[in-house]
Amino acid sequence: MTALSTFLRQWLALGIGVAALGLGSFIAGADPGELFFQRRAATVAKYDQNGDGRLNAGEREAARLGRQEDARRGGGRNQMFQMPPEIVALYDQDKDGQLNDEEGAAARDGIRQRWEQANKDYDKDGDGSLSESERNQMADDISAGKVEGLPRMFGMMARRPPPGAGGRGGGRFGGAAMPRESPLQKFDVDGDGRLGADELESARQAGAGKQPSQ
Amino acid sequence: MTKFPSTPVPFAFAAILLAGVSLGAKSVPAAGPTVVISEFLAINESGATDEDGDRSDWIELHNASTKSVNLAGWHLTDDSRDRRRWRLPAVDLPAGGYVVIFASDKDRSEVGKPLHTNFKLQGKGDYLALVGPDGTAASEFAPTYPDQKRDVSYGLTADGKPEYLLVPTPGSANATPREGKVAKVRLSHQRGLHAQPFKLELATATAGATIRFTTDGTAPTEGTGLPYSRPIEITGTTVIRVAAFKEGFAPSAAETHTFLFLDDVIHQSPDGLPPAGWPYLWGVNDVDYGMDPKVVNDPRFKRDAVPALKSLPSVSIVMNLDDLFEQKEGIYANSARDGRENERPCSVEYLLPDGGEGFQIDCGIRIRGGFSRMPMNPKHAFRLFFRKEYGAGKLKYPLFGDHGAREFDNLDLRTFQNYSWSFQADPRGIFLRDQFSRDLQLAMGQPAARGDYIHLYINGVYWGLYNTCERPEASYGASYFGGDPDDYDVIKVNSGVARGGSPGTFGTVTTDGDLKAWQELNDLARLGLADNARYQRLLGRNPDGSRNPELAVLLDPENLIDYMLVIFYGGNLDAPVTRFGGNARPNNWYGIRNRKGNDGFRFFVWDAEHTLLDVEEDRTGPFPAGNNLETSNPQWIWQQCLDNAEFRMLVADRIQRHFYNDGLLTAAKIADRFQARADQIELAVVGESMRWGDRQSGFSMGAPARLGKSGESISGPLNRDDDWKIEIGRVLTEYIPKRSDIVLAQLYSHGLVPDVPAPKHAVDSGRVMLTAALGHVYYTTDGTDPRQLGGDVGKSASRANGPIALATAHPLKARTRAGEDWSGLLELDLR
Repeated sequence: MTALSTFLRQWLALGIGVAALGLGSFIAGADPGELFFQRRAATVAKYDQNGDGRLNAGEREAARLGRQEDARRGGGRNQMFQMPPEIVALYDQDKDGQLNDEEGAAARDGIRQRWEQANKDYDKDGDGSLSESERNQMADDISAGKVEGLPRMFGMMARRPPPGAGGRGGGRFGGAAMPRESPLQKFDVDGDGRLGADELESARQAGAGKQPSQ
Repeated sequence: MTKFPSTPVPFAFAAILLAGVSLGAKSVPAAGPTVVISEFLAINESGATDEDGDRSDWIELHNASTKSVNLAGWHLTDDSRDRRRWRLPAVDLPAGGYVVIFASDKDRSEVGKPLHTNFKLQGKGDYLALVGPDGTAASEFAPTYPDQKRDVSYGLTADGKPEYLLVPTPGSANATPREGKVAKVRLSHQRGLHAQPFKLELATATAGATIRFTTDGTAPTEGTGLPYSRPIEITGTTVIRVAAFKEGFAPSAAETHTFLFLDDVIHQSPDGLPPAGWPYLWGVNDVDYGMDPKVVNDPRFKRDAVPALKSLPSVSIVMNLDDLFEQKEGIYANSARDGRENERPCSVEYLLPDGGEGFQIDCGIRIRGGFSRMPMNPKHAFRLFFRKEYGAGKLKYPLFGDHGAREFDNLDLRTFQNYSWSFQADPRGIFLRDQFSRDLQLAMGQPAARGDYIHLYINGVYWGLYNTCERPEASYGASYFGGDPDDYDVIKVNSGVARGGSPGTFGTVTTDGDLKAWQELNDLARLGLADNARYQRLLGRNPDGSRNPELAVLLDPENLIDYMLVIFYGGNLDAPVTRFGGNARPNNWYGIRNRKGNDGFRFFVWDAEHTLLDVEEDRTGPFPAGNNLETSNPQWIWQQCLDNAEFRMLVADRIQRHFYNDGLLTAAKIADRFQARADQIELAVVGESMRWGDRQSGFSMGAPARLGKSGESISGPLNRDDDWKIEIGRVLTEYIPKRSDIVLAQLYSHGLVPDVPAPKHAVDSGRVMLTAALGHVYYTTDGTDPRQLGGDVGKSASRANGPIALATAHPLKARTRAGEDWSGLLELDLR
């Protein structure tokens, strides 16, 4: 008999024992299902040192520390975005070819500091913000790999956002305003930015709207 | 464009305050004193605010001479025995100029910045004087000025006599005293849902007053809007704002009423063109109008179209459209902007579908959110601010039922960004993910940001399904935990302001209070918490677990554990540590603590959009984010606390409570809760589909292909039957049935689930029987834990050897002990 089946038998025995009490109303709700016990088995198999089919306090503590070590070594598994090779090379302290959590955190901190420094370095006129030419120079240099510590793909981020990609005056997704254009503008006879009833009717007559399907 | 709230006479306050002075016509005789107190406001409830946003009293000084006067050596006082109560700074007051000083008790006197006295004005009348450098009163109200009136100033008229001034004019010449205020406008029909056309009659009790009205969202003034002369034909959805005016009188308060005709709402802008009078550009923002005929006329939804819009309360925002969409200053047109300078005035109405009593309130509105601010998102979220400058200082309405707050300083109108139809054209849009996590936290007995669902209209144009949400900030703390909002520290993660196009940075900030206690908590945690004395210190306790009133309580451990269980259950990818930042950064969490209270930091689920996705998702970490203040977060505190055996025992107890015995995190309970929310909006999502289901150019982040029930590819607008029900079904049939077991197994793999089962219990004939498969059961009925700190059997615990009489069995707490191991705690209330 395996240790696991022994444990499950104990659980079953518990139910039988309660039933044998002959008590009328049994208050017991849903407990973990079979899937839990299936998943649990892997942890038990790894840490059940005394082979009794369950983890005692010491074994559970070993499991906890084991998860910590797993995370430390394999942090990259939880990272949605992988660092580019030039950054991995910079921060891969244990030279295993990938960044664990600690190395990844160091890489991100380093990139952020480097990015902030680049913002200062390319602010040639020192006015506290990057002009278009300063920004473009920074973007070109990063894209060319000339700014150590910054991934080349950051060059794209440094370049002026495309029309519609940001609000005026900065902000989280900031950048200069680039107001859109609209094909409806030609119907705006009085130029007030809106279509009055007559202007709207002209637009409609010209087929400017989407065609209702039904 | 409206930039300031509708005070009786708007004025450029910022300019006055920063410049310190302004020029204006004389209001006192030239032969009078050099500088005088020309006007003051002692009861400021709806007037202008100071730089802190407070409605402070104010005093206006006027230089009535023909020469500039430097105010160095001058004083203001409210005490005739103390003529040097507050010293004015060396401000130059030009001839004919004015300076406004807040009587706020804030004591600020830096030249070039707003000035504040070290006293406030008394409404019941008090002494007030301006004292010159020679120590004599240049201007005084003695022995006292008369009792003051709310929002009515008191000052000198053109003939130099003091009068009540119905229209305060801080920083400029005093207005002619008015004879009174025009009575409010009465309407023959009230706001709400209407089906039949009607004639709207307007009236005011003030004889000779002119009623003016608008239907474009702007508030009428004496010079704008249409004069009312005969009943107005209301034949379709209309927003109307009315006010009455009369020469010599202050105008009536503006009234706003929205009349929704749902039969025409469902046909708004069917060709996608702007409604008449609406802008065709929204600045840099994507534009999207119209109810899609493909949905409205779909045989599956046609009969549901109007009932869908009746299935939830409606919120109607009415405002100047320029304030939203004007290219340079509109907040919707520049959705990345935030802060007070990007707040605009509006009216908000809450309309119940059954005609019950909702509310109308004038307030401030901003765009809310982070990622959803992107201009390619046409459907933005809003935040409402209830301030005195707009009208009522608070929203007083039980939005979340009897158990929720009845007063609000602010309120979020969330939309759905990740997995949304409107932004990402994602068929996984179910609009429940965040709300469900918040529901779960609340159901666990923890504080949470309550929320509900509404349909939103802007100036009568349907804007889709939205989700109300409390903000867990200082006023929330005061509402639910007591005390004063000023006593609270509120910690959150902030996305930094971009510089030179840099990406947003994340950091720990306060919305209220300061970071001291949070820093102290993190410093202690960083030292390591395996040591029980240090762990108990976090809880404000002595090493033996008893409360030490000399120690601050920094953490509510049960709250932290429950919070983390909600995060784990949802497989939350973006809170409190974000996978999108490589698990090295925090995101989307709030922590609240009352500095004067006995509760530690409590944490709030926030923006839990990235949840209920992969049933195998494991967010139990440990993750690297948190080992410094900048990346600090509750999950890191959790990780540090896990080094402590007492905390791990508490974790086991909360797991026992929630994952066993029909606990809240068992599959059946979760399914019931999720199904209830799904049922609530099943009809309403037809509205979202009509408005936003046709969004084709969304910002997609790996949205899956749309497949029908038979696996066939689907095109056309995203909708309830082909998309929403599919994803709801997946959550109900694939996620929920397995998720509890999977999360429990994840926690087991961390050694957090004891292998000693908690006692089973059975009740019959006034007796309760406790049994265990392993070891022995210990129980107490005095509220103490059968296990004492350190692991020994509690002093008042008894070993269960047979049936226990119910009469003595409450509160019943029981554990199983097998060797040195303890089970999780079984808590029963058998009364």
